[in-house]
Amino acid sequence: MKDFLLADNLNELFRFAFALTGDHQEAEDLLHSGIERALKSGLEAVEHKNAYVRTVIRNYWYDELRKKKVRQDHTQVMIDEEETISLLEPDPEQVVMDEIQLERSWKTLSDQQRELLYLWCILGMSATEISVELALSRGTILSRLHRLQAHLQKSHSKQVQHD
Amino acid sequence: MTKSVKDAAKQFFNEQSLSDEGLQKILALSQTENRHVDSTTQHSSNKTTKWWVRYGLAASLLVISFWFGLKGINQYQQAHRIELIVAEVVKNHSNLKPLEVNSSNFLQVVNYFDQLAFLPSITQLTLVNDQLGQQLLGGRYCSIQGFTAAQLRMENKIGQFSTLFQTEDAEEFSMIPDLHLESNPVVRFNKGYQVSLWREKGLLMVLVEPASSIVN
Repeated sequence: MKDFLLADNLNELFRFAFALTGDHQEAEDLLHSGIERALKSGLEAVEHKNAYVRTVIRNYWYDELRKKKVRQDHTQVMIDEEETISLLEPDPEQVVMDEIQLERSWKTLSDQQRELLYLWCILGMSATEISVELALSRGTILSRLHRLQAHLQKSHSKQVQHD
Repeated sequence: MTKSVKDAAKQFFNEQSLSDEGLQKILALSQTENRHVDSTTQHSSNKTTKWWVRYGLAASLLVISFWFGLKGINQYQQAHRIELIVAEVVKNHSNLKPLEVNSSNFLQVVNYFDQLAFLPSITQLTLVNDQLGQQLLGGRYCSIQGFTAAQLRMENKIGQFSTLFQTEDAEEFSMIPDLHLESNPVVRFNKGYQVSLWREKGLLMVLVEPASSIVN
């Protein structure tokens, strides 16, 4: 439990919450609520605390998000994912972008895309590992990764034209 | 210099961190939890122990650890998860928070839960309870171990309430029997309630009812 409460570890979870919310203050509130729920559910007895807290935070965020946003956003994403894209796993090392361009693209990303970016680039998860984390099929994850890659590359191209 | 999105993301995220106030609030949360633990263990930590008592205890622990092995630890973790769920649902049930949808029509209640990633279902055990005169009163959102859940409240002929919790089945619930494979749910008793846990139709189901209303 002591390791879990170290500032470095809490900041890692904060960055995950930030990926979901896209906003600094909302991320702090979400992290606080998530850890509070996790502690009440017996976090101390859990072996993989960070993964457990990410699950609690994720579930709590999407509950709150669905109360605020229109359902069509979620439905449209689900329809798009039925289209088959390449089964090859994209490589985050191959997508060219610097941090200024990423910061500009940040606001154009959905919470789902931001979360995916975090799991893919920060935690270094493979498509299989992400599929286990999010309890989704590997095919769905590959589809989302390809769309994320395409979105970032498109966003990067637009910025290069304007610069 | 052009980088990869991986490097850019690492740099971008590393610039984000909790404020001092945010960090203190979270640490304060854990201290509130620890105070409950400390108050029950303080008296024992002040006692002195003889060396031969410590030696004996250490030797006993080694024997016990060898005896249980990894399988025993795994069983403990699984059992502990069940106890956590039982405590959580009993607390939720006994709070009797106001229902968000009031109806005796199951379909009408299910239609209210449009923000769930699963479809609440009638279970075989609900059908059994119909024979005991249970009537559906309505439902509300809740959570089980961090997973969003539906809470369905029922009332029997003598005015006692029971609650059926449903959430999506997950790896965390794998120790709970699947009704399609095994015949009986796990049953626990907690604070005068009987709690039955089982998995059915891809869902985790947990039923909380007064132990005194059970007809044997």
